[in-house]
Amino acid sequence: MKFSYCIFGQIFLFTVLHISSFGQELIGKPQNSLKFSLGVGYDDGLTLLRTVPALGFGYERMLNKRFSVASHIFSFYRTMPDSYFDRDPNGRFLIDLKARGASQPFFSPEEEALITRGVIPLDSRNTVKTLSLPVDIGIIYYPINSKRHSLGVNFALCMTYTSHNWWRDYYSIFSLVLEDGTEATPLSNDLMLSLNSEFHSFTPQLSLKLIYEYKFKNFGTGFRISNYGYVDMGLDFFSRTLTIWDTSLFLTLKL
Amino acid sequence: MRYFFTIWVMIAVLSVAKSQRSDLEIEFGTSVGLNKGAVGYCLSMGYVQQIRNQSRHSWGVEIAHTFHTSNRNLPDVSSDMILNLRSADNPSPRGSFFGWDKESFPPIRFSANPNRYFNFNVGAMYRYQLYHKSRTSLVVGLGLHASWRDEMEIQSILKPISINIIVGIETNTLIPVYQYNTYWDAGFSPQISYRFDLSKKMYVQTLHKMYLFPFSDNLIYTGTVGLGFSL
Repeated sequence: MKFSYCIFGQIFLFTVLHISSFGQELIGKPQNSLKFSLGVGYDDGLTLLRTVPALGFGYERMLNKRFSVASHIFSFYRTMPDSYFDRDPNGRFLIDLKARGASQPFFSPEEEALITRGVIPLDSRNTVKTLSLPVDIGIIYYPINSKRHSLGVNFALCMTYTSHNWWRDYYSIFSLVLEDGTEATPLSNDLMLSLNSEFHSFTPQLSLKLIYEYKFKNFGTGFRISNYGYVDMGLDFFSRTLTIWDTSLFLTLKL
Repeated sequence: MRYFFTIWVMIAVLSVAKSQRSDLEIEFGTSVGLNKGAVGYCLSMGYVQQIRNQSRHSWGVEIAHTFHTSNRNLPDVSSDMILNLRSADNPSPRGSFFGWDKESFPPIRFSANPNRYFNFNVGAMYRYQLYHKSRTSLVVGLGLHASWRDEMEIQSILKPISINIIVGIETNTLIPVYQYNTYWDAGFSPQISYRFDLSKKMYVQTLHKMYLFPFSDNLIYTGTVGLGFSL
């Protein structure tokens, strides 16, 4: 992962060094600008899971010196092992009665009559996998907006696409009878029946961001702390989403 | 020391390349895992620079997310595919279950797209401008990529008549069996883009790439629309 941060460092530093000339004229925020961001995302409780750099970009239009409208998209993916399996990083045996060597997981009755069932090991590492893709639009208020510095607070409505899998529990199996009459009794202590909590959803939420930007002539660079979903706007099924945080570096280019 | 050397090389290259055109690009669009039957999105960011001033050749680096889902290997019984097995602490993905119990939640339903494939690509690319006229141009290229891949794929669904587990005998239950993979991969990507100059400083382009990963036999197409900025 250090390699990926190195690549981003190249993009970021190349860009900053290329378009900056130190001591150049400083001006205020441009009327229209685009933001490129890359950072680190956190789950609720500021839990840092195994994650890749989070990417984002957005558009901002200044309404006056204090207010602007802005829209932003942010891609944040993370994964982690389940705590049940921390002691066995090589993975446990999951239940799978798929025939050895079979290429298809589902069989016709004719095929099932011909094959010999067996138990195969499946990799069970990193069973928690989550993607959050919020798209937001809102207002940025700048209590501080000088030629060189600006500090803003962004209040936004966002729609978050979440794809989530969490291996929440497992049971040891004593016996199993399949619909074709196959009996597996007993299997093994190493065989687990896993219970996944798994869903995809689009969820309306609120987003809050704190933004600091340092401005050059045609661009700016800065730091942003964001929260998505501390307040969600849905009920029941629609509230099935996750609260996430983001700390990102960004680059602003004047249009 | 390694990072100091990297930064030194960057500054050295920059010092001789200051006069050449360099672009920053952001892309967003569709991504398709062709061999998995999976569809999703691609979000990428890149830096491209001409090798020499006025040259048709350029090089660059890029960083990208692609995410796909698919319903491959799901039997056609989606309305019945409810996992009844659950306990009081596994009903919802939210972090806190205060006040919630097993009966508060509907049965965990299979998603229509249970297979997930995530790629985080970092790499370098070479591009050649095939055609340029007025405000339009056609560019082809080739990229080399390292890819961190994180996958979850359903392997089978068991349909037991009965299952005897530690909490009792359950019936009318479907059991999904998933496989999880996390690994680094490497590949290359032929690419073609058509761009239209909006101004001297900015262009819009449509970029099409085919990511080929020979070690894992994966084939990913991305078709994106993006903006480029001359720095």
